[in-house]
Amino acid sequence: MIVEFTLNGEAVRWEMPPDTKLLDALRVQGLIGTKQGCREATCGACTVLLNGRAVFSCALLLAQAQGGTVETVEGLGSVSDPHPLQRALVDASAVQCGFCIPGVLMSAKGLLDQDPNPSEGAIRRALNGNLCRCTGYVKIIEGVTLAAEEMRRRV
Amino acid sequence: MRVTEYLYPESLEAALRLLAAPDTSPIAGGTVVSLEGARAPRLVDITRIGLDQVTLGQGELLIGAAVRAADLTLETLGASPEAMLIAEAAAGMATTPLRNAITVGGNLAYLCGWADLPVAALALDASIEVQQEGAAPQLRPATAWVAQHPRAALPKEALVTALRLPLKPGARGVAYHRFRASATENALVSVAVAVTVAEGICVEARVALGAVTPRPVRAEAVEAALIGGPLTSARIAQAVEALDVRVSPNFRMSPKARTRILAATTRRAILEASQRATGGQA
Amino acid sequence: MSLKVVGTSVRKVDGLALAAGGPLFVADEIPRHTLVGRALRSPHAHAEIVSIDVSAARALPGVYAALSHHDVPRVAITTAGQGAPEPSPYDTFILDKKVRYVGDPVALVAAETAEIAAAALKLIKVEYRPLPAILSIDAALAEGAPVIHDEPEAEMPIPVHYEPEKNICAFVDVASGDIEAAINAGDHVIDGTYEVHYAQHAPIEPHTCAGWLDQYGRLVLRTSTQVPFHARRITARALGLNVRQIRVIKPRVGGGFGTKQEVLLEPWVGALVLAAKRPVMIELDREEELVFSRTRHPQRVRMRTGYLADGALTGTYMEVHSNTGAYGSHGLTVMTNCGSKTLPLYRRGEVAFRGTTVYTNMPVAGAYRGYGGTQASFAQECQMDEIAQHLGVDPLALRQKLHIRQGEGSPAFAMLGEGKEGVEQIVQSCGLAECLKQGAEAIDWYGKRGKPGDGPIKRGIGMAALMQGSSIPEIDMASVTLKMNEDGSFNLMAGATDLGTGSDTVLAQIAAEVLGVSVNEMIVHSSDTDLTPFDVGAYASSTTYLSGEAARRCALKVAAQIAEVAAVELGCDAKAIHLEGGYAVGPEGRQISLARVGAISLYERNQHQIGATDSAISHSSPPPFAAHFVEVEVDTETGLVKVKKYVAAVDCGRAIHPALAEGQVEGSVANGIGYALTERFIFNEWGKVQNGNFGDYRIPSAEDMPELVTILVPTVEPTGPYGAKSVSEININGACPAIANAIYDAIGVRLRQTPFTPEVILDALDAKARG
Ligand SMILES: Cc1cc2nc3c(=O)[nH]c(=O)nc-3n(C[C@H](O)[C@H](O)[C@H](O)COP(=O)(O)OP(=O)(O)OC[C@H]3O[C@@H](n4cnc5c(N)ncnc54)[C@H](O)[C@@H]3O)c2cc1C
Ligand code: FES
Ligand code: FES
Repeated sequence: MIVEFTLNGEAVRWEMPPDTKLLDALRVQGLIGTKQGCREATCGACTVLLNGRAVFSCALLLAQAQGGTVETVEGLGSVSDPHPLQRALVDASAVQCGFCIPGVLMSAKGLLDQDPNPSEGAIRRALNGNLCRCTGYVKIIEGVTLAAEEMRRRV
Repeated sequence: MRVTEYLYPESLEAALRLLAAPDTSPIAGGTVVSLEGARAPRLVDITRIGLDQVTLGQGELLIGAAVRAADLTLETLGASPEAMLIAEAAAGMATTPLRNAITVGGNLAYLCGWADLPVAALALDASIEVQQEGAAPQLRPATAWVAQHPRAALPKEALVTALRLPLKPGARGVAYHRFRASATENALVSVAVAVTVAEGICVEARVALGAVTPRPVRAEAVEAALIGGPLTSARIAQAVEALDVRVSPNFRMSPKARTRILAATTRRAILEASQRATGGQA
Repeated sequence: MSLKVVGTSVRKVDGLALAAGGPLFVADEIPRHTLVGRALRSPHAHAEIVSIDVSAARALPGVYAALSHHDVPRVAITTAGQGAPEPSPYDTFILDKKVRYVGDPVALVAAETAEIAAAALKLIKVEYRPLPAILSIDAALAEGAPVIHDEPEAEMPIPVHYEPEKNICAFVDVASGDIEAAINAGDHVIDGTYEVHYAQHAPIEPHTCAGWLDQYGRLVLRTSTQVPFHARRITARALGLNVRQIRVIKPRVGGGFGTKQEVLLEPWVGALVLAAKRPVMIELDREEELVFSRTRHPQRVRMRTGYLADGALTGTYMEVHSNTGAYGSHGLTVMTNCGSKTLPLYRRGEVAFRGTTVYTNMPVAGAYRGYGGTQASFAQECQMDEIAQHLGVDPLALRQKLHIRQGEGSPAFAMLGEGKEGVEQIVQSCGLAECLKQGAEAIDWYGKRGKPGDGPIKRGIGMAALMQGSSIPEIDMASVTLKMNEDGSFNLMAGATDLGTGSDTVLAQIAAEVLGVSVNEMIVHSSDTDLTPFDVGAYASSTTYLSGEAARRCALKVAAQIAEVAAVELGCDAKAIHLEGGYAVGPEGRQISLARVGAISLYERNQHQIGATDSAISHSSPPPFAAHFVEVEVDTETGLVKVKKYVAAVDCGRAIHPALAEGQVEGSVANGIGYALTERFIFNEWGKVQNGNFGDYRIPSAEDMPELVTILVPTVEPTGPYGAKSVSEININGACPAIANAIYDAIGVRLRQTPFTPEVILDALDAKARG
């Protein structure tokens, strides 16, 4: 089937079998920033934003994105022009192996888009689906807090 | 099962018509359909047909089947004891990204052992609105909903369209408690309580238990023991002694330990609901 | 010495690239038309394969290879990923005619898609003859027990006790002196047995390996490994190839914690690539990663200690029974580390150690962060509390009195090393006293201890003191290559493997410090067996200490070469030149930029490549130290234990990168808390793990973690680069004992077995109530 949606701000039109998972569709299309850690909706490495909300792309069909907007880590920023969240997580030394980080970033973006000044509890809750085995979350939470401050300063 | 067709009806009528065809089933949040596979090769997406509304009616709160778990908050549901119980049940479901996907209808229809909304629905005397092509909308009481799995009880072409909660008058208090060893795992025990107090006396009590039996059940013996007297902690503790639910086996914990935890969790949930009903006077 | 780069938390060199989601991991960048490799796994815990037929699978369209044990070389290897000769038995084959645990591989397929691969696995016909299964340490040692490794090839490549016919994978029995006399010289003797359970590393990226043949017919393996050079050697042995026929590339790795020291997928992928003549990738699924890769050795640790009325210890006998599961990977060395990474912590008088590692038909254990230290610290630190309690003294004070100090040795150091005798060692840096002091303050030890409160939810405070090592002395080796470019930048090529630990950054900092430049001038590449120099890899807490030392030495050589060139330009003696701020600075403020030096050396005069390779080996394994403190709540009605606050005070020498060092502490502590409370395998009666998924195997989420305070107590280790010691492993060891001790403080129940699940707490409370 053909699925049309907005991916990282650009209109795309992908033809794939109707039971293709969004995760697989993204990776086949070269958007490998979205990671696969379980395919069981339990690790968070595959988190993307669908219509502005964090969801697991392994627990979603591509077809569900029809007419909607999908944001992935690739749309957030790049090495030369990072998003404040990307920069803040690196500056907080929250990026260890980095495998969980794209998912963490998308969950954090989903949160900050709704709540620009979240409490620590709200950050932990927003990230509760994103398992990280390296950091113990301390620096990830610091990084998200830093980014929120920076983003508030910008607007 | 391989999916061959994915359909996007734009109205409830169109969706019902599509579902009436053979080999067709609904998809809502898609968390089950994507992870476990589809039950039919033709999928009908029911998230674009206006079922994502919350309506406050005459003495009733109507929550559309396509409302996401993440939206079951006091902000969207309005302030009422009934809303509070639903919000507490939804707040602890799964993880944030899953709550952003899971729908009310999917949670009720899939009715897995630890599903939270059916437990809350049971405690609130809720009804589940079901529609199918060529028939008038049906209201199924929550007690009937959990008595037999909807997959067996309902015709395949039936669609859950709403969860309807009666807003009861009086001094009401609710509480949703769950027990688990870590923050986001499936509950080992969940308890939903709604009590009504009049002149210091408990006049109505609903205690629903989840995750301890294949489908949620009411603790009727406990309810009976609560009604007719004040909700003191002594009476609550005594009422909980009447718990007679046989906890089914679960490889994560023995029935013995779970039975004990169930009692403690039930007592605490009733206590909190009572305090809320009486404004902390109990 | 004023340091400019070392000791600062510079931006991690790969941080932004990772945060941008670039194609950095194995699965992110694979050749076109790479096949999907998958394994068929045994449903039996112990069985002989009477017959196996893969022909139907092979005939399925889209299948390019289907292999059983008939199709692969029969060469016994160990997957342990250690130096050669390995201290682990050769008891594993690419595929075997016997299965030894539920999940043991029986066949491999490579197919165009995951669906076809799954269909192919279903077509493989296997006839098993089930054998009685051994599902406990005691069953393994019982008279007449079935023999798990009865194959004639099973052997131990080094001369140590190996007795597979009795299911004994390793046995060690050593003493520093007359241990019985020493123990009996005490006024009291305590004899306790402590048990720790299975757990898994749970890296978020599962083991992943892609392989293909290059234009010259060489086998290229791009793999998530901690040990590229060992992986190359072991894969060569398994496939009957020469080392030179294999190239191992380690891209970014999504966490390892020991499990990616195991050479699991590389021989399989190699065999499939050779059979299919096409690129193949195997990506373990989550159940395979959790249950069928490698796990922590469950153990029973008995400690018998004599002590005087004033608390002084007279002698300790530690006896370890370790369950290595179906294969003996790290079976010997994890067991010996139980003694060597704990016993030196206290002045103990005489010490003795006896360890037995057994085979069982259970998941395979291997290297896991903490590596024996985790298991035995639980025993040692619970026992310290028990002694204190018996004597009626403060457990913190008892540790303060007894712990090892700078300038002291321990008979345990020489008695026991890693799989062999140890190395005599004097502790040259020890910040433990300060760790104990600062940690106690941060948790409010004196204010909060012994105050459980009145309600059903009790509070408790507990602690543990810890040590580990830094590298394996006289065994480990690391190398670094540096070469200079004409813009004054440097390529730093390290065999050391950054798994997310930040070692690329740390090595860059050390080299940058020596060369007087910022980390931005360092272009780090790790690791590729064709391009980077040899390094044993990331294990044994060796990377900062040893690879860091190699980087320092290598940079010193390069600095000398730069000075030679600069001296000619500045007209002075090379010895008069020092490097600073990107310049070679000579007498009277004369200076020349490194960019000019680079350009001159490559294009202008006396042209040559400025560059060097140097190596470091270790002669000692200086222990880092730590004191952990924890505050818990125990719900006496539900048995739920909640950690409210955790303080880790750590002496890791000089932290080259303080924020990364803290990150290592925080990650370890989180993993330790998970191990103590929620991470466990739940077996059914025939030895199958029922919870091989993250839904039921619960590692901590952001909502589970308590307030976590990390305190780095700086010391300077004279043998380490810029005074550094290790930091990555030690901090996983504290949670089990500290939480057990806190539970005792809260509810007066002594738990000698992990984990502390609600059910365990309820049962223990019942037992206490019964008296
Ligand atoms: C890892 C994980 C953890 C979870 N934890 C919890 C938890 O703690 N508590 C909890 O309550 N839930 C939890 N869930 C959610 C629950 O198990 C289901 O996944 C979810 O409720 C399904 O909702 P959905 O909207 O995604 O349904 P879908 O996947 O869209 O559909 C599920 C099934 O219901 C049918 N269906 C969907 N909508 C309707 C409808 N309106 N009428 C009739 N049939 C319909 C579909 O045909 C399908 O068969 C968890 C899920 C996962 C994956
Ligand atoms: S891959 Fe989707 S949650 Fe793990
Ligand atoms: S940084 Fe490695 S899993 Fe999060």
